[in-house]
Amino acid sequence: MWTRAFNSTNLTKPVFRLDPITARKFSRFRTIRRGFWSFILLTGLIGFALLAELFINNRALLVRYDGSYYLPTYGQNIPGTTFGLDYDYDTNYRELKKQFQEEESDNFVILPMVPYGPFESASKPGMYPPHPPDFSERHFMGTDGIGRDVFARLIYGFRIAILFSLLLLACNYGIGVILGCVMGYWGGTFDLLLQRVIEVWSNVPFLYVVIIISSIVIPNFFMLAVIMVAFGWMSMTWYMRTATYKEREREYVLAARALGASDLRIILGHILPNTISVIVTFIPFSVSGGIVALTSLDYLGFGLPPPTPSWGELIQQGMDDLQHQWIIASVVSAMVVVLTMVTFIGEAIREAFDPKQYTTYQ
Amino acid sequence: MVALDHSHEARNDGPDERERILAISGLTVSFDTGANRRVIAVNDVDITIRSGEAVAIVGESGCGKSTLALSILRLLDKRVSTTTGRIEFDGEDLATCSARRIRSIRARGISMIFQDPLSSLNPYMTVGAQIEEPLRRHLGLSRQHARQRTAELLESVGIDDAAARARSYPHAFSGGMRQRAMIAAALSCDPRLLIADEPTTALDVTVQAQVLRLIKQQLDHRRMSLVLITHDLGVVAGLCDRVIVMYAGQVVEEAAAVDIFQRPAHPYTRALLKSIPRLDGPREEALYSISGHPPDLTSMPQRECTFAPRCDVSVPSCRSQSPPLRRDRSGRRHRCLFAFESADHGVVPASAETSERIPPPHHEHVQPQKTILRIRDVRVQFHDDRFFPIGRRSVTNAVDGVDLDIYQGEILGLVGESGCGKSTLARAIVRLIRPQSGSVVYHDDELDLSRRTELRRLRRDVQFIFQDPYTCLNPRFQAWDIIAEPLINYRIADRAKARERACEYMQAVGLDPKLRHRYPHEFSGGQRQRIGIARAMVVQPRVILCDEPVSSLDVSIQAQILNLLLELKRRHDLTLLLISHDLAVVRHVSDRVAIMSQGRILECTETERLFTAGPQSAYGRTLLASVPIPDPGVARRQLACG
Repeated sequence: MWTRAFNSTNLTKPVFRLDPITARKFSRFRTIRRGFWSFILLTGLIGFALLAELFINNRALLVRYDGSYYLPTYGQNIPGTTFGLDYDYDTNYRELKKQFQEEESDNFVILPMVPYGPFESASKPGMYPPHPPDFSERHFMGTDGIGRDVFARLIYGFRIAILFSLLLLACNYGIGVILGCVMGYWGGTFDLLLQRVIEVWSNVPFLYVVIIISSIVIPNFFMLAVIMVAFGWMSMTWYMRTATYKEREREYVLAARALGASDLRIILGHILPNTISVIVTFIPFSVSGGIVALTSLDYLGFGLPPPTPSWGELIQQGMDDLQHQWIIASVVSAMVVVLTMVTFIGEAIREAFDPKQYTTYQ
Repeated sequence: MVALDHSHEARNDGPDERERILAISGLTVSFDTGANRRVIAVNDVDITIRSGEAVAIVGESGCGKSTLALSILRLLDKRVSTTTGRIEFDGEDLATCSARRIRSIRARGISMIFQDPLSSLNPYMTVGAQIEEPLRRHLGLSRQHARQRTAELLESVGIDDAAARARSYPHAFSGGMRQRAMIAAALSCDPRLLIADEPTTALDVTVQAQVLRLIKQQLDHRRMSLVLITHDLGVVAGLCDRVIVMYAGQVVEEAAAVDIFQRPAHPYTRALLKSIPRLDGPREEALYSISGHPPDLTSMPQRECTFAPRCDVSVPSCRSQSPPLRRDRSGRRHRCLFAFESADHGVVPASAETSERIPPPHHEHVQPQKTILRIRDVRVQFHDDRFFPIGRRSVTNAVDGVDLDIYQGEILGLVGESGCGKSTLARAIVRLIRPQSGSVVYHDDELDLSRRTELRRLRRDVQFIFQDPYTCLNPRFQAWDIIAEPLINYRIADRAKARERACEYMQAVGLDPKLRHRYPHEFSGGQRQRIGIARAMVVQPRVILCDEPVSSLDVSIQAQILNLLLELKRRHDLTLLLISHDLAVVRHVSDRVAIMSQGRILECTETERLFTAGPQSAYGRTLLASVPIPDPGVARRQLACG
C-alpha cells in the first residue's frame, strides 16, 4: 500500500518508559529533600516493622544445642524439653542463654536486639512495674504498667497501625475512585442522586456507630476496617468526580469516542491515568489520617481488643500514669516523628505534582 | 493618516529625523528551564521605534516576539528569566528604573493589548470598572470624571450605548467587543506607545477587519506609536509602516512594509510570504511549504545561520558562519549572506522550485458525481440545563436544519465564523453530539445510527481530525499507541500488530518511526497534527472530517499539513470535509465551498464559481471582503474603505 517500504526492526521488543510527565514529577520530588528523606526513612521504618520479629522478640534468632541448630524466630513454639529443660511450654531463651553461658559449653543462643516480645510481661524480682528505661536489661524505653517492653509494643503497634491504614487507603480509594469516575463521566441524574446519597451518608455520626457496634461485639482488625471504610470512602468521590468532569471535556476524550473506544476504555485507559495526580496527592494525608483514627479509637477503648499492641492503648496508660513519664514520652514522640514524616512526604508530593509551578508573568 | 504619510516621506529622505520613542539595543532574554538548560528566546535584538510610527514584529510561534514585548514592560517572571541589554523609552532605561516608575510607565507611557480578550479581562469586575481603575489611579480623576471618560472611551472604540454597557460584565460582551474594551482600556491614559500582541488572532475575520480598522483610526487620531506583534502578514499589510521579521529569537529582516511585501530580501521572509494561501493568487498549484521546523532554542547554533537547515538557497558557507545583521543605505536591515543579490532576481529564487513539490490537487470535475454522504435535516439544539424544569427553557439552535451532499472523492470546504455551527455539524454527523433530528445516508444506505453496530461502521469509515493538536491527543500515551488506538478499538489488530501498523502510518505522514515512544508534548504542533492525521488514516477510512486542521498552526507548518492532506487524499481516494474559517485556505484546496452562518448553510457552490462570480449571499460577500490580503496597497484600500 505504501510505496516506501517500512523496515520493522525491534518492533516487538517492548520498551518500558516511565511516561515523562510522571518521570519529571518524580525527579522534582527527589529534589525536595525533606520529603524525599522522610520517604526513605518511613519506608525503612515500615520495612523494619514488618521484620520486627528479627529485632524485637522474646524468641532467639539462633540456638545451637548439642551440635544441631535451631531457628525459633518464625514457626511453632519449641518446647523447653528440646533444650534439656524441665518444662514443655515455650522456651525462655533469655534464661537459656544465661544457662549456656554458665555451663561454658559449645551451645549458644543468639538473642535479638531487644529480647522481649510485645505480649510478655518481664517481671523483675523485688520491683513492681512499670520499670524505667534500662539499657543493660535492654528495655530501651522501659516497660509499661504490667511489665511489657514499651519499645516492642511501639513497633508492633506501628506495624498494625500502618497496615490498617494502608488497607483502609486501598479500600477507600478503590470505592471512591470508581464511584467518583463514574459520577463524573456519566453525570446527569445518576450523579445528582449519588451526590445526595453521599451527603446524607457522610452526616451519619461515625463515632456513635462504632461505639454501638463495639458495645455489642468486640471488633477485630477486619471488622474495624470494614466499619471505617464504610464511613471513609466518600471524600475521594468529590475530588475524582471533579477531576473526571474536567478531563471528560477535553478533546482527546472526544477523539477517543470518535475512534470507537468504549466507555470502559475511556474511563480506565484515558481518563484515569490523567487524574492520577489527584489521587497520589491525597495518599500521604490519608495514611496519617488512618493512623490517627485507629490510635484515637484505641485510646477511647473502642478499637482493637487488648492485649493487641497499640499506640492508643499506650497513650491511655501513659495518661493515667503520668509519674512514669517514659511511657507517654515514647509514644508521643513516636507519633510526632511518624506523622511529621508522613506530612513532609505529603507536602513534597503535592509540590512535585503541582502543575502551576512556574508562571511567565509577574 | 497624517502620521503614516509622514513616515513615507521620511523613509524616502533617508534616515528618519523624528523623535525616537523606544530604543532597544542588545536585548537578550533567556529562560531557565531547569536542569542547566537555558532557552534563549530573544537573542541580541536592536529595535528603534519613532514617534507616530506603526511597526510590525512578525514571526512564527516560538520566534520570541511575545517575549520581546513582555520584556519591554518588564512583565517577565524574574525567577525564571534573565534579561540583558538596554530598553530606552523616552531616554529612560526601563531595565534599571524602579518598580514604581515602571508601573507608571506601564499605565501612561506604554500600553499593551493581549491576544486573548477572554482571559485578559477580569470576569468578576464590570468592564467599566476595569477601564476606570487606571484613570483614577494614574490620572487622578474623580469617580465621576473617570466614569464619564470611560463612557467616552468606549464610545470612541465603537461600543454603542457606552454608559450602560460599561456596567455589564465581560461575559456579556462578544469577543470583538471585549477586544474593543481592551483597546479602550489601553488607550485610557493616552499612552505614547501601544504594544498589541496578536490583537486579532482570536477573532473572526469580519470582526478582525473591524478591530484593525479601529486600531488604524486610533493611530491616526492620536500621536501614538504602535508595535503590532503578529504571525499574520495579511494583518500587517494594511496597518504598518515598517516590518521586522524575527526567526529563532533574532531579527532576520527589517524594512518598510512595501519592501517586505514586494521585494523581500531574506529567504525566510520570502518563504513565509509564499506559504500563505492567498485569495488573489493563482489557485491551481500546491502550496509552497518551508521544510522542517524552527530550531530548538536550547541548542542554538552559534556558528551557522539559524535558518540554513530550512533554507532553499543555502550554500555551504551558510553553515560555517553566522551572518551579521547588515544595514543598507535606506536603513533596511537583514541577516543573510546573499540577500540583496538574490532579492533582485524576483521573489522566487530558481532553486526553491525544486523543494519538496507535489503535483497540484486535481480540480478537474469528474461528472457525474456519486454522493458518498448525504446529510438531511440535521438539527442540534443546546438548552441550558436547569435543575427545576420550570418555565421556558432557552434553546440555542446550533445547527438548524442542514442538508448537505458530500460527493465521493471531493474536498468540500465548509466556512463560517466561530459559533456558526460548523464544528457542531461535523460532530453531529458521527454522533459525537446527539442531534435532535437528521439522517445520514452513507453509500446509498440509510443508517440507523441509534444502533450501535451501524454507528460503529460509520465512525470507522468516517474519521475525524481535530482542530487543536495540543488537546486532542492523550498526554499519557506514546505516539504509536495513540495511532494504534482505533485499530485496537475496532478489533482490527492485536496490540503488537497495531503498533506495527502505527509505525507504517507514522512514516506515511512524514514522521520518523524512531519517535514512536515519544509523548505528545515532546512533539511540535505540526508533528502532533501529523499524529492526528495518522490516527485518522490508520483504519483506512473513506471520508475524513477535518475540523480546522491547520488553524492553530504556523503559516509554514500549515502549508506542510495542507499538502500532506492533499497527498493522502489523492493516494487513497479519500473524501474530505474541510472545515475552516480561513477562506484563502478553503479556496486553495477545495472543489466546492459551503458557507455557513447561524446554523444554516447559505450557499454551496463550486469553488471556481464562488470566487469568480462572487458569493450569492450578503453574508458571503462580507466574509470574502474581510479577508486580509498580504499586499500593502490592497490592504490599505480595504481598511480605508470599510
